[in-house]
Amino acid sequence: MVLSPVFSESWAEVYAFFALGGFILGWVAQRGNYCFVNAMTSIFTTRSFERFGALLILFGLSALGCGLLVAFGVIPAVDQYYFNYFAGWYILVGSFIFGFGAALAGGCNLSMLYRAASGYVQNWIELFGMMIGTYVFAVGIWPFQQYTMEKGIFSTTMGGYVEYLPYDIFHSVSPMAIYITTLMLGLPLVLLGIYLQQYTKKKWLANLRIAPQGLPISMTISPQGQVLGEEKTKTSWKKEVKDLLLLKKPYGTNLATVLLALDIILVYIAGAGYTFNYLVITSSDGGRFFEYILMLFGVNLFTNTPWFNDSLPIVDPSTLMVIMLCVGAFTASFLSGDFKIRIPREKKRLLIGFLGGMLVGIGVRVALGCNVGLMWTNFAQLGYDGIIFLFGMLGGIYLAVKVQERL
Amino acid sequence: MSEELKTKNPDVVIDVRGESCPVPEMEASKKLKKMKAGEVLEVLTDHQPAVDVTLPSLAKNLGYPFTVIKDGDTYKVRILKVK
Repeated sequence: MVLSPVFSESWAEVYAFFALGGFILGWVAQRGNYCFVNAMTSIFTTRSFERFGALLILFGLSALGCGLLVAFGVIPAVDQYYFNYFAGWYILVGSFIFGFGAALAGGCNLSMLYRAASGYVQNWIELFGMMIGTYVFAVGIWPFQQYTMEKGIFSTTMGGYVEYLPYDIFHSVSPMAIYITTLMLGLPLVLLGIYLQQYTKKKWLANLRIAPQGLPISMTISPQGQVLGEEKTKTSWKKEVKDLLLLKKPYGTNLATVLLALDIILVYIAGAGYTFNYLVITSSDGGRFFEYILMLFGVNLFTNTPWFNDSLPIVDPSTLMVIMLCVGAFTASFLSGDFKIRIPREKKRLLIGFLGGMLVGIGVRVALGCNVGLMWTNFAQLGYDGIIFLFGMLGGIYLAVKVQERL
Repeated sequence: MSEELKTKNPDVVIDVRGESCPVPEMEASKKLKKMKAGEVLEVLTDHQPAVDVTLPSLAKNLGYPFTVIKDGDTYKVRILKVK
């Protein structure tokens, strides 16, 4: 089966769509402070499910959007399952390592990149650690992992339709099988996400019931006691929209969720038939930047180093997407006045950031993808690898929260 | 309660300037667990999302009053542990 183009676009247009997709991703993630790790740590630190609920809504909307496009024949089914990865022990182990490292370092693959572009030195260090981690994986783990994948040891031996939920459930990739699977996967995720958000908000209201209505829940003041801003129980929606457009206020979690879901659908439609038509990026390109840097010094990892010798060409749409993600995040942070070079006061945080980054690099490569390119994307692909990744990542983050409490 | 948060000297101060989420929330949560009722925690941060989202979320979930003091580029988020 070959991928089928949806539109007859030139490669220049495909690259332009991917660049736009990356820019939107960086811009929205920066304005919405979207961090998968943070959404999960708050479950274990404060039993808050507001941002985790948003994450489930994101996965559900992505599955619904991409799945329905296929079910109604806009995009061929092969475009949805063609790039499904192998599934096996490595997704669970890798996502666990990734979650642990990302929570220690201070960011998932998405937040690491957009924050690095917003001036956070901690995330530069994390990115560098990730590059080293990718190399450690390539020479120390990949040969063994590849062996288990080839032999089917706790692993499937092929991806594609074998890991496509409509095929797994109905032994069919017919429009009806895809339609039913899309609803079965997408709707519960959205409903569960909304329920978790409502549950958390009710908890907040119960905690704040002693505060008289209309009064600020909290206020921002100057050291002299002047009130600079208030968080009120109700804000005019016109002022809200104006503040969002003028970049005076960050996007709310749910607005960012909807925009990000629309972004993955845009890239899915535009890239159908041409390339890996999802937001696949961030981890492999992040690791491959190490390869590109070494090239400047005459060291070519692709000639004799495992994993690197099997990687994609240096210039491809996903590399462009990563770069444009950083451009989008930088533009948003600069225009909103948020850009600033920030160095952690505690120097041990830099070391923790580096070690966490290394674990992030190892984890994403062991899992064959990161929270964007594997987890989020796989929900949109109607696969099950994303579900495995989600549980592994939650486990790693739980351990990191416990370790952090003792540091 | 708001006056108390503005005027009372903090009992515990953590400086997470330069750090991004989830670190401010995790560090604040860790400190609050060890503090006694009636004590004030002050979190120094320059990470806007921690001021807008994560630290208020932490305080609201625990039912603790909080206030934010903007001092130049730094925010001081004060949280009163009440139970």
